[in-house]
Amino acid sequence: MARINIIVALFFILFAALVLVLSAGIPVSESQPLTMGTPTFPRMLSYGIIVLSLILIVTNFHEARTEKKEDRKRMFEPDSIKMVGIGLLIVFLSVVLMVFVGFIIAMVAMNVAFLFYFKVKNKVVLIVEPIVTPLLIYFMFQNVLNIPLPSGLLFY
Amino acid sequence: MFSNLMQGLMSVFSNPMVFLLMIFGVVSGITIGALPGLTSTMAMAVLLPVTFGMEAKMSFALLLSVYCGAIYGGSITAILINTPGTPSAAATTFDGYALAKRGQAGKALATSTLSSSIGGIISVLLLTTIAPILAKFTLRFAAPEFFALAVFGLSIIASISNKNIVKGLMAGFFGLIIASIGLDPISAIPRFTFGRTELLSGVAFIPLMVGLFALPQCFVEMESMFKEKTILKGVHSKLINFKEFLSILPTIIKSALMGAFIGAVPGAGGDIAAFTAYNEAKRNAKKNENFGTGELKGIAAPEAANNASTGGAMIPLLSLAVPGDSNTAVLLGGLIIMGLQPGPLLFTQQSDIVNSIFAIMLLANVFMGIIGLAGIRFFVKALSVPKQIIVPVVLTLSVVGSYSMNNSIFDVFVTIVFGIIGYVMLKADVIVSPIVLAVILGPMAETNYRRALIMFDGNYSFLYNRPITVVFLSLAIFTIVSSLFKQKLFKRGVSR
Repeated sequence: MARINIIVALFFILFAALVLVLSAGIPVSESQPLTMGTPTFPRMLSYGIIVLSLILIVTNFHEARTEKKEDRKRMFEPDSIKMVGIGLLIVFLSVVLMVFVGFIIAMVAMNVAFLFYFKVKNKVVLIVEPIVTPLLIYFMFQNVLNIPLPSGLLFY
Repeated sequence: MFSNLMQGLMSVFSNPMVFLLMIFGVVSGITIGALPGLTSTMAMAVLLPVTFGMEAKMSFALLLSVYCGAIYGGSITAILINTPGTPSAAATTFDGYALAKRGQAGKALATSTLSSSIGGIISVLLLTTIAPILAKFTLRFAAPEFFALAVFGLSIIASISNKNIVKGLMAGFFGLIIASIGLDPISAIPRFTFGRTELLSGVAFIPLMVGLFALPQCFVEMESMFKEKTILKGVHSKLINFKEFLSILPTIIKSALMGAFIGAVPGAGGDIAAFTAYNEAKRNAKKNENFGTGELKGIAAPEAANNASTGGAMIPLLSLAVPGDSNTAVLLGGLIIMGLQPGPLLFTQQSDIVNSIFAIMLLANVFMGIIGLAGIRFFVKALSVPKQIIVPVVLTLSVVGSYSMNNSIFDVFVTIVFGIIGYVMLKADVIVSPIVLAVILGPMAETNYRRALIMFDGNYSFLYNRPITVVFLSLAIFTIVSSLFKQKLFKRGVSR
C-alpha cells in the first residue's frame, strides 16, 4: 500500500499545483478586504493538500523502499481496467445518445448493451428489463413527479 | 406543553382523510428517498402544487409525511447497495452496508427503521416542549458561530477516516476546492468555471453524490461479475432482538437530541446531524474499531439524528420563520401560500394549526416505523435480484437522478466524472465521504469566515472571544487530536 500512497500523494500535489496556477488567473476586486480575496480560499486549500501529501510521502517512503515485490499491491488489475472501461464507455455513449434520441431510446439501448455485456442469456430478462426499467422511470418522472426528461433533438 | 400535542392529536383524529394522506405521504416519501438522486426537498417541491386546493391540515399531513418518510427512505439504498438515497443517509453507508454484506440486511434495516422512528418522535416531543428556548439560543448565532460550526463539522473527517487520517484530510481538502467552484459567495467573481454557465452556481450536489457513491459501486460490481460467479451470502430478514435494541437505545436517544439541536440551527441539516452523531457514537464506544464493520450503533446514531433533525428544523421555521434547511424552506413556501405567517404570532393566532403540525409529525414518525418494519422483507428481497440486472437499473436511476435536479445533461457528465474519481479513490483506498462532507460544509465555512472578517475589520479576535465559537472550535481540535491518537493506538495494536 505504501507505493500506492506515494502515487496518490503525487497526484494530489499535481492537482494542487493546477489549482494554484488556475487561481493566479482569478481577478481580485479592489473592494475586497486584503485578508481574504476570491482566490485566497482555494490557494490556502492547495497549500494544505501539498503539505498533507508531503506528510503521506514521508511516512510511506521507507516502507515503499523496503516493500518486497510479491507484497506490492496493485491499484488496478489490467482486466479490471478493461471491464470498467467498457462499462464506462457504454454509460458515456448512452448519455451522448440521449441528447439526440431522448431518454427512453437511449436508456433502452444502455440496458440492452449492459445485459449483453454481462452475458445474460435469459431471453425474458433480455426483453423485459431494458423496456420496463426506462418506461417505469419515465412514467414516474414525467407523469407522477412532473419532471420532464429529455425527448431528444431528433424528436423535439 | 403536551396539552398542545393532545389537542393536535384530537384534531387530526377527527379527520380520516388526514390519515390517508399521511400513509400515502410516508410511502411516497420512503420510495422517493430510497431512489438515489431524488431528495426529500425535491419530493416536497413536486407535491406542493398538489396541496394548493387542500385545507391547511391536509396539506401539512401530506408534506410533513413525505418529509419524514424521505429522510428515512434514504437509508434503505444506503444499507442495501451502498448508495445513500439522500445526503443525510451518507453516514449510514459505513456500518449499514457492511452489515448487509455480512448477510444481515434485515437487522441493519430494522435498526435504521427503529432509530429513525424513535429519533423523529423524540424530536417532535422536543419541538413541542423546548422550541422557544432552542430558538432563542440559535438566534445568537452570527457568522463566527456558523464558521465554527462548519469547522466542527469538517473535523469529523478525521474521525471517519478510519485507516489513514492524512488521506481522509486530503480528500476533505479536495472536496473544499470542489466546493469553491462557482461564483465567489462574497464578491460574485467566478472561480474555476472555465466559462461554463452551468458551473456558476457551483458543482451540483446531487450529481456529485450520485457519481461518488453509485457509479464506483456499479464498477466494482462489474469487476466481481466477471471474476467469479457472484452468489450473495444468505440474506436474512431477521430483525434485531430486544437485547440488541436495548443496547442501542441510549445511542438513539443521545443522537436524537443532538440531531434535534443541530437541525434547529439554520443551515445545518440532517446530513451534518448524521455525521456528527456517528462521530459522537464512535468516540464514545468502548470498541470503536468495530465501527465501519457493521456496528449497530453506527447505523442507529446517524439514522436517529437525521430524522430528529426534521423536528429540530421546524423550530426556527415555526417560531422565527427561518427555514433550517431546504425542506423547511419548501414548507415555509407552503405556509405562506396557505395564508399563514410563521413566527411568534402563529402560536397565538393559529394555535390549532401549530398543534396539528406537532401531531402530524408525531404520527408520521409512528407510521414510518410501522410501514418501514413491515416493508423490510420486501426491501431485503431486492438483494436477491441478480447483480446483472441491478447494475443497469442503478445506472439508469443514476443518469435520471443527476439529470432531473436541474434538467441538465451537463450534470450527467459531472456524475460520470465524479464516478471515475470515486472509483480511482476506492482503488487507492481513499475514503470519499470527506468529499461529500466538505462540499456540504465548504460554502458555509468560507462564507461565514469571510463575513466574520468583514464584521471584525480583518481582526481574528472572533476566533477566541465569542463563547459559542470557542466551544465549537475546541470540539473540532479535540476531534482531530483524539482521532490521531486513536489511529496511533489502533496501528500499534495491529502491529502487535
